[in-house]
Amino acid sequence: MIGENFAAVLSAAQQGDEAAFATLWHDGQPALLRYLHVIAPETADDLAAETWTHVVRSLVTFRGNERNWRAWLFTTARRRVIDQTRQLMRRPATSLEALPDTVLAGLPGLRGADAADLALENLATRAAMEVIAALPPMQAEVIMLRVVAGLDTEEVARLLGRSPGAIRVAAHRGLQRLASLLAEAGVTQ
Amino acid sequence: MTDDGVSDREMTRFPWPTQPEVGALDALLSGCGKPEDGPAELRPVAEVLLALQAPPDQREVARWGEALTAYRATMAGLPRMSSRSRSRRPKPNASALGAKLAAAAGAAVITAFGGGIAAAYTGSLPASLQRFAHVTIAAPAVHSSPAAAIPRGTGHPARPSVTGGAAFGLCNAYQHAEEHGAASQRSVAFRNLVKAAGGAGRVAAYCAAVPHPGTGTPPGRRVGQTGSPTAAASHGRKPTAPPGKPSKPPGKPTAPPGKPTAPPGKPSTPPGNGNGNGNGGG
Repeated sequence: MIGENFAAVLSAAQQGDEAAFATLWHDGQPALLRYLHVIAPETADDLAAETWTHVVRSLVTFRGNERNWRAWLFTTARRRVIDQTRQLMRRPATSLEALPDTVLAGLPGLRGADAADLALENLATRAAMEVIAALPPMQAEVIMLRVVAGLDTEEVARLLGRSPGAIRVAAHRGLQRLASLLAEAGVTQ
Repeated sequence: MTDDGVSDREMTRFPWPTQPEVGALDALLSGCGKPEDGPAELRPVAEVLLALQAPPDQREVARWGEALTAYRATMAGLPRMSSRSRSRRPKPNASALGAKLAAAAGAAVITAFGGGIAAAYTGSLPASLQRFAHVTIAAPAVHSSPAAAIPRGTGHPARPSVTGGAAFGLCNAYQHAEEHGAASQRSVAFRNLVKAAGGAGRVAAYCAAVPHPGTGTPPGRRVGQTGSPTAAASHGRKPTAPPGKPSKPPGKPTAPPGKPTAPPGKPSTPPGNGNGNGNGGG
């Protein structure tokens, strides 16, 4: 998050300042890409680029604070995913049933004889994304929007078109499922 | 099925007798506290969530050039107007940015590129960083219209003129250089300004008569008083609105917050269409 300087950075970016835009981009891009990697893993990079193209087109007319900005950025990204999903007619994430064999087995250290000794401090971001992506899609998306995008429950609810209560439940279930999953894999503190 | 909707199947997968408290889950989602502060059974989860927020690696910012190209193309395609005239349109904080705020904006860039992230960015942004540094410490960069971001060869003059709209910016730059003793005060452009004013001692008077470009702002403003964020930064004026807050109350902007006032391009699927990727809550 950019913080209290956001308004200045946004204003400068809206006036054509490339470095200010660089600040916006570098602040948002990693989170955006990680979010997309979870909900649309195969095309995340292209979708992120497409998202920024759309954002840039409307940048000068954007009004709002940083929370509004983040919500707009991720809403734009999600629209790109929806558009793509409609085109490709495919689900963006794996199902939970496929978890043990297809996901965990592919995560070095999360399974196997020495899994219990895994030092979680070394858990790579990519491995973490893989684990989240293995959750039911709704739960995975909510967790990514809450934790990575930094949106609160109400913002996520608006973005996903669900009630705040549904978002809260999905997030809790997702974390519980994640805890169970890690425990099953022998991942300990 | 439990009261909160967790299926029996899920419950049987828990290795501990009781479910984690809702408060602990909310704390994780909000990023509050350290993993070691939470329940033991949630520590691995907390570590995973922390890993999700790790600093970006090089690959994640590898397509910055592509985004910059799109940005340049879009900004270059906007109707031609000076950055100042664009900044007069109603928008939060555009006229309320003071020295600390704008200077901090520069610091934000540095911060964003700091620590472990720096290595990922240093190769891709030196020119932009330098440009932004100019914006935050001196007025000239504020005059960089969107087209100014385009590399040379676009027909723009190679250096500032002391007449027309450029004079306004040059005056601001001169004022800043004078106050801070910048070496650029000896530049050709400044020498031209001094010459046009009839001497270094007359620059202030000369600049006071320079109208705001494109607006016909009456002469008489103090040198350096542009009303722009960077100009305010250059002269240490205090912002008239609290930093980081829109001039309008949050949630009541002129347009719906978080949305452009007039999104160009084809309409996209509105948020909240209930799609949710077609998945239930589990």
